Amino acid sequence: MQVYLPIAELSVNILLLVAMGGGVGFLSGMFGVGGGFLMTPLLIFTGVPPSVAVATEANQIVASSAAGVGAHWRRRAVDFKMGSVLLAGGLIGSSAGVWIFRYLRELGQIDLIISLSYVIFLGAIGSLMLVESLGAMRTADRGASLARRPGQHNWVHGLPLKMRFHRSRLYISAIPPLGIGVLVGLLASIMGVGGGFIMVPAMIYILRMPTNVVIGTSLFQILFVTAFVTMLHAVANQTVDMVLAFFLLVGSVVGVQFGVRVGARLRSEQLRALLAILVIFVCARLAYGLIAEPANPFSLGAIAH
Amino acid sequence: MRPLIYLFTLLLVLAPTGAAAQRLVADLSDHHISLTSSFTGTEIIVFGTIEDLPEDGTGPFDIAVVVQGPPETIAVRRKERIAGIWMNTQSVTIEDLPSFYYVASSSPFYELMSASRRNSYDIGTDVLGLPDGPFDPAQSERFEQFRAAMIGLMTEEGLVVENQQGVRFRGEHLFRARIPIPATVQEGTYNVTVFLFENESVIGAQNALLTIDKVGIEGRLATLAYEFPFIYGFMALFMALIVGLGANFIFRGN
Repeated sequence: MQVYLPIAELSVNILLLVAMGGGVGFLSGMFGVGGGFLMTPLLIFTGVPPSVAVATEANQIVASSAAGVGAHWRRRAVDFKMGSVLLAGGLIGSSAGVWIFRYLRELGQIDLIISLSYVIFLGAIGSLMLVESLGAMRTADRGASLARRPGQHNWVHGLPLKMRFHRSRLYISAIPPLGIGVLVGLLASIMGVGGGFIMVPAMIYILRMPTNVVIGTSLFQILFVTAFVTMLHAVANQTVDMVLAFFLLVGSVVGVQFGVRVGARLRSEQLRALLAILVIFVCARLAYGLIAEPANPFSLGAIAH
Repeated sequence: MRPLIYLFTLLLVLAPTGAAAQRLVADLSDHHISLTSSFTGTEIIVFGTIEDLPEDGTGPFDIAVVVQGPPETIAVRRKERIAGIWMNTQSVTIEDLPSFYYVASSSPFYELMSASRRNSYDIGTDVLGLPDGPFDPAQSERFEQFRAAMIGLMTEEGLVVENQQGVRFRGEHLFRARIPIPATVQEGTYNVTVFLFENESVIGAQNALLTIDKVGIEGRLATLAYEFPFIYGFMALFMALIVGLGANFIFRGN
């Protein structure tokens, strides 16, 4: 059963798309991650142009974050004030990102920059996670547990423009969350990821937010930033493939449910080590694509449709 | 109905009219192609007849068929290895390039006509993508290299076809040629021109149009995405929200 993807200009089997959505959904449910950073490379490997893969992923993440934020909203686990500051940064970052994206596309460098960003981010995150999870496994084997250091004042507390965030029980400068938002917005527009893998650690370790509001607040920011990015890409680059996003979503909403159940049965250090190996594998595959000699050094790109 | 009308027109033109105004009559087997989601390519037949050839003509007479898709501007890019990574370094922009190009003739046209003459009729892949106007034999080497690479890439996709024996005669007057339309064609209006040559000179020409449309929901979405990107963007968001919230609702019990 073939379907023609109108923007990617590719004919693909529907079942393949649903399976890809399901597989990545399963992994994101199991590991508790967004999955954008796995799906975008997978789409590129399938033959979807990288610029279409990125914009379409943003569209897909709108759906998955909408599904997630509802549950956290009901549990009152969303700090809307913090979320809004992060969002303001996100809108600035993603506007800049889409502009950069358009410029690089005209230069014919966007595919390279997307792959290169993925290699760098996946490589760094994968190795850090692997080292951390292996360390945690060893510690767990010894039966010892690392006590978390009590909240200390760090450089964040020295900055001006302080705001009170009631739900996070914080009184901190608005500059760090704004900056984090900008970075996440850039990543969303150029890499087609929600950016939770950067935002969640940053919220915990830099902002010192309580962990119970971290996920809900980040999903709130991701929902609106990816919606904005989808709109910007649709208007500025015409690279959002709605048909592709739809079939990926059908698979992923089901895959996530199974992933969550399997994930609950595994130990978290093992899960993180598995995810780290997967991330490093995807990184290596992308890096190979950059280094290997292309079959034909020439390529064609349409200017103005 | 439509084919009947064409047949009727054809018969009308073929009927003896006294003056030998029309030496060449040609038509297409189909004037319209619908790109559905299952479209894997098709074939169009150009057929026609030549008559009332000048009696003092020395011949030989030849037919050439040229099909050109909607024009576009293309950037041809070349990758080079920099610091171990393959990246696009140079590019050449080619304007007004037909997105699909087919040329066929009844005998090898490279021997019949000079490149500059062929360029004025857009006959031959060696003149495809060259700027119009007086032919400049001193085209820069770099432009030629990129242009040749472009033709190679488009030929691989079936978007450029050259067949110097592609027009077949049946008897002295009837001719036909098959135009392969690949799956990757763009929608738009395609210009089909049939030339009648006597040696180097064009003594007759006829034009026909072929329309290629995207149909079905995918085709409409593509049109929407390019022409009304705001509406398309909102639809994409709406679709995502429905699926996301719908999934949230269905699996809430778990």
